[in-house]
Amino acid sequence: MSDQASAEPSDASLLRRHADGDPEAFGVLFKRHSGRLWAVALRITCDPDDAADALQDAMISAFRRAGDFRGESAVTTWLHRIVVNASLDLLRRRSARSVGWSGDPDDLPVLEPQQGTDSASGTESRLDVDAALRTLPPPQRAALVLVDMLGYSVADASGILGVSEGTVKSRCARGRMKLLPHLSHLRSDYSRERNQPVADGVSFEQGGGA
Amino acid sequence: MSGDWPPEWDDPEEEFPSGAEQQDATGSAGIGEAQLAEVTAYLVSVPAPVMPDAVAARISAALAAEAAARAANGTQTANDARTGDGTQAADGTRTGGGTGAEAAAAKGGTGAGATADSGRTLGTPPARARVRRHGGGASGHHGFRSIPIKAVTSVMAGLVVIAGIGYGISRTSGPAYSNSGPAYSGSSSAGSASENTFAAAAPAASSAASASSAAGAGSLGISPQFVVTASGTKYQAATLASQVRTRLSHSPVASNGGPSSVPGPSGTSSVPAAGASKTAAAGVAHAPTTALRACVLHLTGGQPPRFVDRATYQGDPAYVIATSNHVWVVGLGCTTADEELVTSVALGS
Repeated sequence: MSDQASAEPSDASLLRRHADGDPEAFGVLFKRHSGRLWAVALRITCDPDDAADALQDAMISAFRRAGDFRGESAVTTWLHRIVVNASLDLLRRRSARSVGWSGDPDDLPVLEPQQGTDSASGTESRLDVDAALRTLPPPQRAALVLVDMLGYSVADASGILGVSEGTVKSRCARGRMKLLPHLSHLRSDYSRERNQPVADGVSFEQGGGA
Repeated sequence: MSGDWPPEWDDPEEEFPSGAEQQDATGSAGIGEAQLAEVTAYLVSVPAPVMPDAVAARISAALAAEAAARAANGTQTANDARTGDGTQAADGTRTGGGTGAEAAAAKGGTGAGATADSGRTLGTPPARARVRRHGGGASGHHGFRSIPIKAVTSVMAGLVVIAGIGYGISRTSGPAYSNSGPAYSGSSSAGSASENTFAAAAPAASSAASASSAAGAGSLGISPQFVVTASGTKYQAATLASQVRTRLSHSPVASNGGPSSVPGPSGTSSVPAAGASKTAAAGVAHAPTTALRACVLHLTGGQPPRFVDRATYQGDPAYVIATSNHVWVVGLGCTTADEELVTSVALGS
């Protein structure tokens, strides 16, 4: 997942330097992955303010826990896991303070998108996707975001989410089924524009073919 | 990670035991694999959001604050910054943590641009330098207000330095009084509101802490012309002159004619003789308030007193002000407008 050029220090090297006291290393690491980490936080929380809070919490946590990183997974996986956990923790706290969903998936409200809250979502379709994602239970949303929207493999998503690959696949499949009615009109537009049904390199098996 | 979801997050149909059952589920719902694949394809096509600069700056600031705190590693400076404690300036000006925090918050808010108020707060955050959202702008974007510890520390340090420099300038370039006349105006900027505490005419009881404090005052160019002791002497009307003479006899006159207890520019002080009376052995002296300084110099005609002693006279709290040939007893509210003069006695020769 790392995009860094070969001449640049590796993620592991940066994390090690940070743990050794290098005051700049973690900042470099954050900048390197901030885009994807932001996307994860934003897609899971569906709110830019929540995403910023979650990402900040996650980065501070990673900053402090860098010494505990044992290299058993990629640094990016470790970072993403912290961001996902922070995002879900934030939603969990919020859920505990608010009147929650009844538990019946059919009762899930289609939340109105927050106009103008996402500087990157300038089109109607983007807002529709955001609104559709918000109808998913956060664990499903997290799995779907990682696998379908950010292109992680099921195995990587499994590592990030801390669940089995089967659980990731099932969450993705359930999420897709729930999104289908919300995105049908967008899919039609998309198919007409592209004149091809499926994007290259993406298949159902990637995330839901259990 | 999924064991402690809120109940509403659990999907009872989440776990599919096998691929065959999943096929059944999709099939029974009338959903084809191709349709789900289209959903995936569409989701993939959605471009990734771009992190707003304000968020990046906010998190970078938080990380910088973490790095600074880590570097400080529990030093007193870091502790003060984290707890918002103020810093006691050498001139007595206390710079509150709130001021620094407000400045830092304003800085963070500016960086976030115009915002709309979301008004939400979170639970206990892990971040030491917690960033809060606030708003008030009209753009509809959410903004952020950061309180980076580094910024707070910098602002506080700046305030301390500025206050110290201002006080030093006011004291060194101000209208120093002279023996020739009451040229003293009594104005002082930074030090006007506080009764500065520092070690001055500390006899045997002088502590290392007060000595270092006096040295610090000297290094800032603070050269008070007299200090106020608190001897605890119980002056009586019948014995006032003799009590004062006794004290004066144990307080050698400084070379400049000023009081013996005036610390020099370097923070050193003239120490009274070892045989000074117990009542005169005030271990800690205070710089006078502006009002008191003006009052004293008003009474003495601009001449520096030999001593100013906060004590009691006839059982009542009072300042006893002595020159070489005169003594005044005034109330604690002595000002140039109202000396609250209790008594005045010529000492003679």
